[in-house]
Amino acid sequence: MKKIIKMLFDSFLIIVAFFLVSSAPTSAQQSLPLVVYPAKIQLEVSPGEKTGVTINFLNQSEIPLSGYFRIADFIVINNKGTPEIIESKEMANNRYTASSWFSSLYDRGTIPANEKLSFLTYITVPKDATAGGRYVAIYFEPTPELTQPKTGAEKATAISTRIASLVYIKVKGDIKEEAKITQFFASNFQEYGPVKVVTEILNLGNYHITPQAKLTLINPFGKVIDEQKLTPLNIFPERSRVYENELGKKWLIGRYQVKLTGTYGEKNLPLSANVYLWVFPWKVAIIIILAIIILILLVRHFLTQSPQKEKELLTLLEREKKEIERLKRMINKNE
Amino acid sequence: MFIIMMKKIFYQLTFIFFLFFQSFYLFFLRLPQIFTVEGATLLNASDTLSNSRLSYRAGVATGAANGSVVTIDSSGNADNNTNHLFPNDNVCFAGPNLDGCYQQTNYTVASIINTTTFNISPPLASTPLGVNDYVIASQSAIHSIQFTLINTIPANGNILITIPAIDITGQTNDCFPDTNSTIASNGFDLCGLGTTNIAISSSGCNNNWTVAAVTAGDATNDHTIRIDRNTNSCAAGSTITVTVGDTNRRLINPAPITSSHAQGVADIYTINVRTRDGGNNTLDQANIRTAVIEGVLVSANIEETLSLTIAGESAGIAACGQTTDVTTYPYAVPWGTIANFGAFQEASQLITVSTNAVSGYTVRIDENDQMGRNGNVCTGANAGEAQNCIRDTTCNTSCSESTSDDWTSTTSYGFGYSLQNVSGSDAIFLYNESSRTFSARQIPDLEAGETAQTIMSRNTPAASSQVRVCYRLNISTTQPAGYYFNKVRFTASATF
Repeated sequence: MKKIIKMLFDSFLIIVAFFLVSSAPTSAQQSLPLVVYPAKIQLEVSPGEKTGVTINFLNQSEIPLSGYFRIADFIVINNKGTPEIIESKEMANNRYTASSWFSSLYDRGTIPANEKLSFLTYITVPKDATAGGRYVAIYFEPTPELTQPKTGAEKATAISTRIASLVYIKVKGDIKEEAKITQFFASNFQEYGPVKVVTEILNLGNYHITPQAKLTLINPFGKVIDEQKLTPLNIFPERSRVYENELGKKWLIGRYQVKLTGTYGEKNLPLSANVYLWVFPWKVAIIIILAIIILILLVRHFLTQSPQKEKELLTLLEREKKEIERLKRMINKNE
Repeated sequence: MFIIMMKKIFYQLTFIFFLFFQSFYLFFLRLPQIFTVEGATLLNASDTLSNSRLSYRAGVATGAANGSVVTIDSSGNADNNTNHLFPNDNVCFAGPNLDGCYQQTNYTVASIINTTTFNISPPLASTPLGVNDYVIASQSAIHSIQFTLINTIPANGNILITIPAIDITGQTNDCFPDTNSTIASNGFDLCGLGTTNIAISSSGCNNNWTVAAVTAGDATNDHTIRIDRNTNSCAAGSTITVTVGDTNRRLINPAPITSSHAQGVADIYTINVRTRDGGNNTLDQANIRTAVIEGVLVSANIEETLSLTIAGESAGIAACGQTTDVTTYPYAVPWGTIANFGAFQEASQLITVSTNAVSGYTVRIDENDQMGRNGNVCTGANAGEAQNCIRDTTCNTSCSESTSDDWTSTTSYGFGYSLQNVSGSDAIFLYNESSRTFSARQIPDLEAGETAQTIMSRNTPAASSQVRVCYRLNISTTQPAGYYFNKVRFTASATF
């Protein structure tokens, strides 16, 4: 009897387990989490120097990830600092490239589940390397997998991801540092504050710069009413970067000055710019002026019209009195 | 016999008188004096320092003109290594007579290179440092001295606080941290602290106090602070708090003593506090031990990291205002066999990005080619059915990899995508922008020479920004049958 009960219990467990497994969700929600660190790295090298750099790729998924490690040059393509990896060497501007200086022991590998892989690269700086900046991206690209089609009429899109670390290399020497403010704009007239300021700084040097500057809003009496630091953003050589700031509060009135002062580069070269603008809440001002005018007119009306009417009434009253007196006299005469 | 008796009585009386006078002297003259001078011990006496770090004082070995590297002597000074000098400390290079700072400037420690060398910012001026100069990083503290009275302080009484000073005249009040061979001969520098820099409060009696005098110490005397009681007495049991120093003036903590000081072991100084009556007789007193010790630099290096997660999503979910038809995976969007021509097929993936990079991040998208039959190359941007390709959509009217357009017409065929913010607002364009139903773009075709386009970005750190990428495929009835595929790629990096 005990054996039968045990068999029935075991069978029940197996059935329950089967249903639990078969009803488990599919891998539709499966994700591929990848981490790279450092996300950016800055190196300083001398011509002829041999050095290395290690980038860590962390696979946070529950499955091992196989893929390629690549070293490619990159440039910045716009004034937002967006890096673009150069896919082919022909596209590269040799002035800022250095991927050919890099080597590694392997170019593909498998990162175990929940593990990191440290990708070590060696850098051999040519003896004739010119001073300035070089920019390289080191990335890991897992190999995409497409299942074989079940029929000959299927469609599929393979998805691959690349996660890149950016390497900034400074080759020591006589580095050209030059930058200018190409745009320092605030609308000539604003109805209300805050004052919107657009600043664009162009790096004309051959190494990236990170300008340290502040914006100052000065009121018509020469008093500083607001200060803001420009976000310290990197500017790629021969590229510009745009900064947008808002200074002051809503209620401003008069002619204001916006001043930019700062420095860039290792020599702390100066940056400065000025712009003047008017802020005047004209709609509110018109409403206030109209209200004042109406008030003045009303007061004036009351002040001028009331005595006149009073005078007229008194005259009328006097006339009526006289008329009554005259009528009284007529009645008395008749009697 | 009589004479012997008298002698005995005389000796006994002499002895009794001796004992009597001794006892009289002890009990009626000596003991009251002792009790009056020593008084009782103040209760719960303590001195809390706002900064208990020892000052730093080392000898300069080298400091070149216009240089930013300074090397210190490795022996013979209060500090003989850089163990107790930290990045961002303010340092003054003082001459051998401690008569001011080099160039009247304070420098910031930029970094510690090794046990005897450190970097400063800004660099030195055109004069090098002298070999007899000192590197000084002063540490100052506000002392909060608290105690509870055993005896009442009368209306004309006072409090006297004695703070140890260095036993060298001329160095007790020069605003440079002091050092000597022993703790007993060293002390706190007064640094011009005066009566206005001292505050007193009392709990248990009226706060009727006047800081009457601050006297700087010299070779033989320590610093003293006298606080007079006014108007009425302060009762026993009252708790007094004396705050020595304020935002303007503070006592300078001593540097380590020059002999027998072990780094990490405090130098303990004694501050005496006593309450006195109108005749300056001590009522209560306490010796408070005050410890100053080297600081501990706690540091951690946090790497800039970038995290990218791409997740597949199930069929049947709401994505970009549509309901998806296809279950996707991180690696693939398997459209499967399509027999429903002229009808939109929807699929989606979820992209999550986190980074602590101050400049933020960008995620860009591209495809190796348009979808080609059996991997057929679709040459150019407009390769279509005739070339056995599913071309990138042109939306209702016209869209490209950089400009979007509404895509609602099922007679517009091809492959395209749209975006939806799930967490944050990092998507570059949105499916419902400009009141559209499904605002779409082409995926940049590398084969056709198009460049990758940003789909999500941020110029500040991102905790967990999420954007849904919604793919759409619409096949015409005349599309040649076959297995079509291409490869879409996402590239994530920090913003420059």
